[in-house]
Formats: sequence, structure tokens, C-alpha cells
Amino acid sequence: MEEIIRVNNLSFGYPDGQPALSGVNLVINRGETVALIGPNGAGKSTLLLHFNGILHNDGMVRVFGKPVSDKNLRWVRSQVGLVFQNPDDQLFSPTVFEDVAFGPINLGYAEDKVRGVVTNALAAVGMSGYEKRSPHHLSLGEKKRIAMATVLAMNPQVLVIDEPTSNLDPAGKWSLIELLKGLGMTKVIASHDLELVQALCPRSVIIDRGVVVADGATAEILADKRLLADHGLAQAQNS
Amino acid sequence: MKHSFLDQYSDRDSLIHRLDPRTKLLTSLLFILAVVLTPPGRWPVFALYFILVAALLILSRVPLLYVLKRSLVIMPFVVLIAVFIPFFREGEVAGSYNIWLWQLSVTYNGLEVFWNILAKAWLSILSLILLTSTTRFSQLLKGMEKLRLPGVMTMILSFMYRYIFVLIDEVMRMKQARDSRNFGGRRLWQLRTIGNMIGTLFIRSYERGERVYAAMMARGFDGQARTLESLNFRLSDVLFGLSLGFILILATTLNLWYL
Repeated sequence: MEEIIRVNNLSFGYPDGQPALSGVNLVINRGETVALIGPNGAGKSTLLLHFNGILHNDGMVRVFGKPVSDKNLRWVRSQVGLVFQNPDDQLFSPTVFEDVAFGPINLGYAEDKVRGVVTNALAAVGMSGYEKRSPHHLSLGEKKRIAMATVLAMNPQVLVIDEPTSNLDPAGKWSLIELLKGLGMTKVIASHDLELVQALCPRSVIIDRGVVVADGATAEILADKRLLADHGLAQAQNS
Repeated sequence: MKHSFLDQYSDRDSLIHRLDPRTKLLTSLLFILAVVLTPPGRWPVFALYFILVAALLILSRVPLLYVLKRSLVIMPFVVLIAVFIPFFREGEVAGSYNIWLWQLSVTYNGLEVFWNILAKAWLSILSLILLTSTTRFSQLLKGMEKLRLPGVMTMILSFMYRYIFVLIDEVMRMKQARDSRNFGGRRLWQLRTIGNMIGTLFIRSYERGERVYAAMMARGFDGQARTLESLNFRLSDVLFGLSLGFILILATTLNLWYL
């Protein structure tokens, strides 16, 4: 199996001194769909920000075997596509087209190619024909899909998604899950939506207080009620 | 939450809508410049400008009632600023009032300047409404970019257009949360709450800014704003520009002839 992302003993603290990650080890292989689960504030989002070098600590994270550093950030970001939790943060342009085209233009594609990838990316998330709309007039489900398209347009090797189904209604959530199922690339999904994890991810990693506490087959992890309860993923048990 | 559009009706189609945003930006600026530079009391010239902007509005097929309403929203601010002028101009006194210890007098000269300011403001506002309701905001931004407006300014405008309603939503939610916890009580207490809300809004916007920047970096942003070229001057732009320029020159000569 080809290693795509390797995290070696990664620790990170925010400027206010609060530690977010302490000694995380993790390997993501090609073709996998991995769930990162854990309670609120466990460090999931902070870890995701390390995957494409938004936050980086030299040498702790490797992408395709190369350490993430200031010099190869552009390349890293073209390989690892990061979809943020709140589409209002992800979509910042006056029109949908400009937003989806933002990444490809930054990658230096020619105009024809940019138009092509934008059309394809919007089609891939079922949002064709939305090019001229402006993001603040769309529903949350539509925004989430377009946020996904903005990253797909860069044709990344890995899709890293933070809470794809948060705040969606059940119908919107299941249609998004179907959409994610249809995308063939390697995926890392941070979520505490266990239904989504069960439906999509064969492998799960539990993170709590900045530490990896479990890493294995989703079926086994979700069956261990004790483990889930201990890490805020199920109702607390009295025993 | 649903909001009104900043650029309502800009997705319609008309001769004016189809013009290049640069043509519209430049002619609007020229028009406003000509209006502002007209000396007070040149009513025929103002009438000519009004006919011009009215004709363009009719051509643009934007509902006139909407234009009228929108222009009236802004007028109170102009009145507020201009209302003191008649009292401070020297000249023949039109009326004199005694209010407690002060004696106030209004001059004809001052009144003329007052009406003149109102007319100029209204004409300028009408032309700007024409501009924004016939041009999509994104097109307007592209036009500004192509006119070599500094990138920082177009980016700030673009973020404003994108986030103003997100911020309004945030304020609305904060207000609802406040009111549902029984806002009221002493004045001083109220002020403090409002101050806290403003502070919170500022911090949230600041943090949102950080997240947006992270999202931009995640898609390869390196401080250089890039867009696709997609604006084209057409024959209609040239004709429109020339005819508007001609009318403005005509109006200016009318001004001189008046002297």
C-alpha cells in the first residue's frame, strides 16, 4: 500500500498555551476512507489543518514521503484538498464560479482548463448551473456541496473533510453521504456523526485530548460501547 | 436567512445591462462629476441631466418605483447634512426666527444652495442606482480591476459583498438571543450589553477572517489575486460612451453660455 500522509509524533499548542495535539502518530494509505472521530475540542480540526500545511511543524507531517515545509506548500496543497466545516468560511467569492475557479487559477491552469474543471467539479457535486449564483443566497446543503466542488476542482489525491454533515437535515445528510461514496479518491473525514462513519469509512481513528486513543476497523470500534462512552461518542455509562 | 440583494435587477437584460462594466463605471463617474461641477441655479442644465438619467433608467427596464424608493432611502442623510446651509449663508434674508436666545435667519442665497445640493445628490444617487441595478456586483468588481483599481480595494469590496449579510445574520442572532433573555432594565446596563455585543461581533469577524484566510491558503492562495479575463468592449460600448460624452459636453457648454 502506498503511504499518502504520515504523521510522526506531532504535537501542537495554540498561542494561548492550550495544547491541542500531543504526540499524534497516524498513517493514511492510498484508497482508504478514514474517519477521525472524537468529542468536541479533541483536536480533530487542528490535526486536519496540519495535513495540508496550514499549520506546520517541520518534518512531523509527510505527504507522499516528503516532509511538509515552507518550500513545498503549494505542491502539498494541490495534493491534499481540505474542505472546511463552515462553508461560509470556505466560500468567499462574489459568485460560485469564481469560488470554484479560485484554486485552479492559483494552480496556474489556463483559462480553458479552468472553465473545464469548474464545470466538472460542479457536475460532480450535482450543482451544475449554479455558476452565476452568489453563495449567500444558497441553502446550507447547497453551500456544502459547492465547498466540496471548490476543492475537487483542484483534483487532489486526498480529500480531507471537516464535519461534512454538521447542521444538515437528515435528507441532506444522506444525499451528501451518497455523494461522498461516489468520489473515488482517498478520504479523511473528521466527524462525530457515527451514522456517517458507519456508512462511509471502513477504518476509524478516535482522537481525544490531542491523543490517538484507538485506530482500527470501524465495525469493531463502533461495537465497543465502553470505548465510545469514555471518549464522549456515546451516552455515558453508569458502572 | 434570506436577504435582499445589493444588486437587485442586475440579472435582467437590456441595452444598459449588456454594456461593459467599465463603460458604465466611467460614464457614471463622468456624469456625477459633471453634475457636481454645475454651478447653483442652473436649473435647465439640471433638467437636462435629469432627462438623461431618466431616459437611461427607462432604457434599462428597471422598475421605476423601485428606483424612486431606493433613492428616497438615501435622501434623508443628504437633507440632514444640508439642512443647516440656509442658515449660514450671507445675503438677502428670506425669513428670520427667534428661538430662545438665538436669532436665526434664512437667506435666499442659502436656500438656493440647499436646493442645489439636494438636486445634485439626487441626480448622483439616481445614476449610482442605475449603475448597481444594471451591473452584477461581480462584474462591477471585474471592471474596477481592469480599470487598475488597487487589488486590495477590489478584494475588500468583494469580501464586503460576500460577508455583509453573514455579519447581519450574526447581529440578528445575537439580538434574538439577547431579547429572549429579557433584555431591558437600566440604560447603563443596556449600553454595556450593546458594547459587549459589538466586541463579540468584532472578535467573531476577526476569527472568521482567519478561517477564510486559511481556506484561501488551502487552495493555493499566495497573496496574489488572480481572475480570468472575460471583459470585452463592444461597438455598443463605444457608441454609448461617445453619445453620453457628447451630451455631457453639450451640458457643460450650456453652462458656459449661461455665464
